[in-house]
Amino acid sequence: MAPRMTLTTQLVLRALLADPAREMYGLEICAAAELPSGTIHPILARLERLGWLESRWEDVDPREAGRPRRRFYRLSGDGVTSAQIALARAEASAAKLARLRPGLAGGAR
Amino acid sequence: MRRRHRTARDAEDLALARRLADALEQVQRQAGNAAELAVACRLARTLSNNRALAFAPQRELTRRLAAQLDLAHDLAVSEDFDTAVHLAWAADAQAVAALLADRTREREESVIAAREAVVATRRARAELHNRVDAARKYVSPLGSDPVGEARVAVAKVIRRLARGTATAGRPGLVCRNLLGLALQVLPLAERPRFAEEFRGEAAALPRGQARYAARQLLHAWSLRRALLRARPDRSRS
Repeated sequence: MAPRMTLTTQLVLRALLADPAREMYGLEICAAAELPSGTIHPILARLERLGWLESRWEDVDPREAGRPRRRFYRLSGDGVTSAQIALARAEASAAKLARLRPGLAGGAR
Repeated sequence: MRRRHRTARDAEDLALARRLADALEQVQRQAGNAAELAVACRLARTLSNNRALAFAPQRELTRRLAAQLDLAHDLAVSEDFDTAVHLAWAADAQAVAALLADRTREREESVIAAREAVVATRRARAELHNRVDAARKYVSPLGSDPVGEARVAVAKVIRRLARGTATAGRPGLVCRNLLGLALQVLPLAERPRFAEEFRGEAAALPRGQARYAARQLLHAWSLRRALLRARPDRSRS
């Protein structure tokens, strides 16, 4: 099952796909996707529930580090493939729409 | 039995309407306080997601109210105080009118209660006008531009509020309060995880922690919906 491929979901997936092996916490994903904080957690939760994402707590002692632990996310093995397919489909749909209705898809008017 | 249930629902709705009126009154009286705007924001969001208010026009209006108050809060945090107050003020009339119109249309027995709320709101607004006039008279001998000076002072307070008591690794007071509100929206089982996750992220921000927390509050319902769509969790810890 695929999530709704909204623009923000696509941006999050692209940010994670840029380096699938790299783990990122919420704010890093926000920065990479150029989205404001708050918008990404619902997306991350959906993707995690679908099994596209894996998450884990940062391996530090909050007392020693002097700050709370961070939650790291990265695409799962299946998630990488699923995300690539879903993004390719979304791009194909956008391209099709651009041909049919240039104005709507941001194409030439 | 059914009647009793309905009466309970009416009482709940009325309580919500009163809370809204109270909260918005607070916004108008203490709009220099970003946390107050956040309270109203949370209340508006609660209302827009309330089952009893699930009528399409009502939801749309409360959403608009919530959006206005969200924006007002953001602006207050970012020191654009005049616009924030203006927006919070504009949101008030719309929200109260929407709530009361809905109640009068849907449940006739709420009319009396609704009238009481209207009267209370009008009284509160009249009182507010009186207080503003009194305040202007009081501060006028103090300087050439007392209102402007007061605004500068308020902007400083807001700036301090926005920073909270933030230090590296410790989210400020406003941030913690806003995050606390956001967590209340989330399913009980998920709160500890997101409490730590949000605190961890906020701690990474040297500035703008309140803004971060406000945004989490704005999107808390969306996160709640995502979490409630139960699927096997594949998290590694």
